[in-house]
Amino acid sequence: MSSIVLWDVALLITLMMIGVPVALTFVAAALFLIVMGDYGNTSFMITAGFAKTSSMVLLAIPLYILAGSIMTNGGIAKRLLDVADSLFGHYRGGLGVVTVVTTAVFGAISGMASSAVAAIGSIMIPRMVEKGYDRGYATSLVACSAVLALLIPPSATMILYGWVTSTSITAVFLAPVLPALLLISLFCFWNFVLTRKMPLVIEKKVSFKEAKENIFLKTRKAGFGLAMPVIILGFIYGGVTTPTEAAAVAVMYAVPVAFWVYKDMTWGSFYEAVWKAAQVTAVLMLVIFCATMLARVLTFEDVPQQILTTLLSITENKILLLLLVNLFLLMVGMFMEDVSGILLAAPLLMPVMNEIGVHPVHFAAIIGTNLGMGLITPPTAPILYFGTLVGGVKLPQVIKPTLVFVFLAYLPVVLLTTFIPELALWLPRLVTGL
Amino acid sequence: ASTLASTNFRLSHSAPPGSDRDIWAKEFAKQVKIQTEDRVTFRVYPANQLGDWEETYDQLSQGSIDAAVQSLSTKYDKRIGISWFPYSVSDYKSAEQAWNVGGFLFDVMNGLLQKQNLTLLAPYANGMGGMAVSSNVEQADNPNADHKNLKIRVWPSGAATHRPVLERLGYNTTTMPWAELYTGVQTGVIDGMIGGTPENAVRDWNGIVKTWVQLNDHFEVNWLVMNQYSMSRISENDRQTIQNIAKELATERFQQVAKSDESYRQELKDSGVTVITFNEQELASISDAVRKDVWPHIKDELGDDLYQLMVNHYNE
Amino acid sequence: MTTIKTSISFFIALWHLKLRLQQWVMFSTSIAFTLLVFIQVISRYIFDYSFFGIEEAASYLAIILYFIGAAYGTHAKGHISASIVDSLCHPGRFVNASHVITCLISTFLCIYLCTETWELVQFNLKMDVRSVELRIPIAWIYIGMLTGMILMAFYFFIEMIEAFCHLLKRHIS
Ligand code: NA
Ligand code: NA
Repeated sequence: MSSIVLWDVALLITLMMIGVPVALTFVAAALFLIVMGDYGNTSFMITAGFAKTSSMVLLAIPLYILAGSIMTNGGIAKRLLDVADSLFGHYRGGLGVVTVVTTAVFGAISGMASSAVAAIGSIMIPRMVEKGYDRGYATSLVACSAVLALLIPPSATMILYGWVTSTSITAVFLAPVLPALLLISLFCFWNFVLTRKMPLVIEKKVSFKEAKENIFLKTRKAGFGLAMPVIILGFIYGGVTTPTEAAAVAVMYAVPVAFWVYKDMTWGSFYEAVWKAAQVTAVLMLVIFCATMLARVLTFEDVPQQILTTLLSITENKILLLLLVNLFLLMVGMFMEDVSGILLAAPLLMPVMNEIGVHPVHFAAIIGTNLGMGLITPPTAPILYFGTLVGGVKLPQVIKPTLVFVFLAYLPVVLLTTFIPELALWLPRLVTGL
Repeated sequence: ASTLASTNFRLSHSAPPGSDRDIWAKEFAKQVKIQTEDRVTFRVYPANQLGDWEETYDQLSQGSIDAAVQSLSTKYDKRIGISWFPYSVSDYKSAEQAWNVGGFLFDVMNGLLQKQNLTLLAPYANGMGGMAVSSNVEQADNPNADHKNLKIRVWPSGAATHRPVLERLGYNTTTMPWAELYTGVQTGVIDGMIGGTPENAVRDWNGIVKTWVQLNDHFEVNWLVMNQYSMSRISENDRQTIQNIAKELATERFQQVAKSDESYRQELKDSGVTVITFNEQELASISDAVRKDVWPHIKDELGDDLYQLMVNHYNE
Repeated sequence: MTTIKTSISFFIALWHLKLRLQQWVMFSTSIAFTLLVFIQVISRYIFDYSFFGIEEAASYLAIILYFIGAAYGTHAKGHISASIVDSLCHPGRFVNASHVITCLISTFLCIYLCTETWELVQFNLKMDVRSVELRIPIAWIYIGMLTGMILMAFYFFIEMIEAFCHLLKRHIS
């Protein structure tokens, strides 16, 4: 690897750490390579950003963010929580399971981990604390399970992966679903272990009939929200629409539900929900635009090829190479959030994957689980930090449970996903034929 | 500067490594290196590494990359549509006469590209165009048949010309981004696409195509183009050498293209795809229908001068 | 004195108007591209008819939104950042100084983006580049993006001045 590129990486990380917005650190890194290299015309960077971000495929991201935002402001999170609560609430540690399961279901509506933290965390953390859970633990559980939103379709991260590697989003959406289910079970398991010693208040058990009626009632209330993921997935995999179009359908579905079924939305809050979703989108898209600029310069500098030769010169053993790739992704995940990580790492590592015969859809699950984990591993752990803001705790209080979730839930799932291709490929193959 | 200093160029193309076009581009780079005695070298970037072809088209014109073997879109000039103007040429012989270096359409194209800071070195003959469909196509030879149940995707630049052609032939037309095309056909959002050659059907659509209709609607050419400023960086002699190599390779490719199409069609048949080809009479009835009913409506795409040039040429 | 006061309140009103305008642009473009894509679905699936150019229009609207929205994100201090300084260091002069520096760097980088984009506006005007389906001049799209970038540079500059005043105030007290 040329030393200029290493200096460039150092510059990138330094600027990130002192707090320059991530998008602009990419511009700086690109600019550095341009200045150090031999470039006549440099407008190709903006051209690249424009050509790629004006793609119809990418339009899925603003649309899913918008649909999620309208649903959240329409009060869907609360109703989903009620359903899960009526199912698991009266068991010991049940509220923890409620959190995990609700986040997973919410993830099928929202494409981003941060919206899951905001929507679920703000309701669930106070409720868990009230019932005797440790505040730090509750916050950690919410933050760690929020990552499920990016593993369960629709997912902004998977849309980006498909877009940046020219892999079909329809297939990519399904790749991390089984790993996500595995994570859900591991979270529930560790929830029971970790809450053993907490002074939990357990609600009195109600009669079976009463419980059944309650579940039925709550499910009916949440039904319109629960129907949304069914519509999205049904439209995509039933051959009605592309993933982008399904997102527009989801928005058009969410509006009447929020206004007239849940009656939680007014014109004022609708206006605000829409432009705020647009701001979230825009900030994300700026990262994407700028990462595209940097990625283009890196290809001009031949970096993907250099990474390939460097890795192959270390070993040609597929298992060792996959371990190295995981290590690389772990480091990327430590310093970057999922969006930047995927935009940089996916094109850089794609040649390696082609060389050792890893299917692009399998790699989607590998990179997704890895960078999802990166959202909660310090030093750069945006979802964990966001969680502490929502939960009102300090970082040291959440570290211990988070370490348990990272080492005993995420890491095993990452490794299983890497070394058992079927875990990622089985579902896409079943549904799309791949 | 050292007299041994060589000029290094970047050459982009969209075809995957090992494809016919990739081999052709690498052969061009190799010949240039040998015949200019290392004074000029081309580094070949395959498979859209420097951006997809719409983007590299901009980069070419702006001079960020020096050369490419690719198709061109209508964004700088509507008249570029002449390169896939439907049923302008419908057999290999007339395709070579029109498109090879010095041919009448080659000169037209070169003239158009001059204004975009580009020099046309040579055409790369991709093959005869057709349509890939995920179901059976009945009566494909009848220009008046009804295929309204088939939604065929038209590529964006081809919308102005090929949408009316397909609609004249009774098909339903639709749009879809390239990245979702494969699964879009697979899940059944749409039923097929126009704008490729038998090689595309094998490489890009393998597994989802049930029928390949060899419509011969256009002869697909890609263009070996170079940025004018990049050209000016090398000596007049070397420029001549490069142009000669390009012309020679283009001619060679024209001689192979029919056979190449045929072998890819055979490959399709072997994997169970129904390949529909037409005899001269059937083809004439389709192309007559398009020339009569569609050409007058799409002539604006070319402008009067070009349209007249074309009509006169083919009425001779 | 009163003229200074009125002109200040005039500028404040103008400032708020501009923010409101940005919100309105973000709202209406979002609604517009959602409707465009939705109409395409309905039309293709129910009426078996596809509009050509809808995808183009929707994605060009979106890209303008991205930059106008990113500028608003700058104003709202909502950019994605991975700052270690903010999350690990105690508030104080060091943190304040790093804010001044990051805003300065950000302003500079935004200005750089503006100049490159301005080149492309000129290029696209000169070559009369058009979108392939609707024949929209591409320069217009770049001008929309450029507007967002200029606003972004402006907001970072304002933030830098704020951070600098903050640093001085702390220094004095
Ligand atoms: Na999701
Ligand atoms: Na991290």
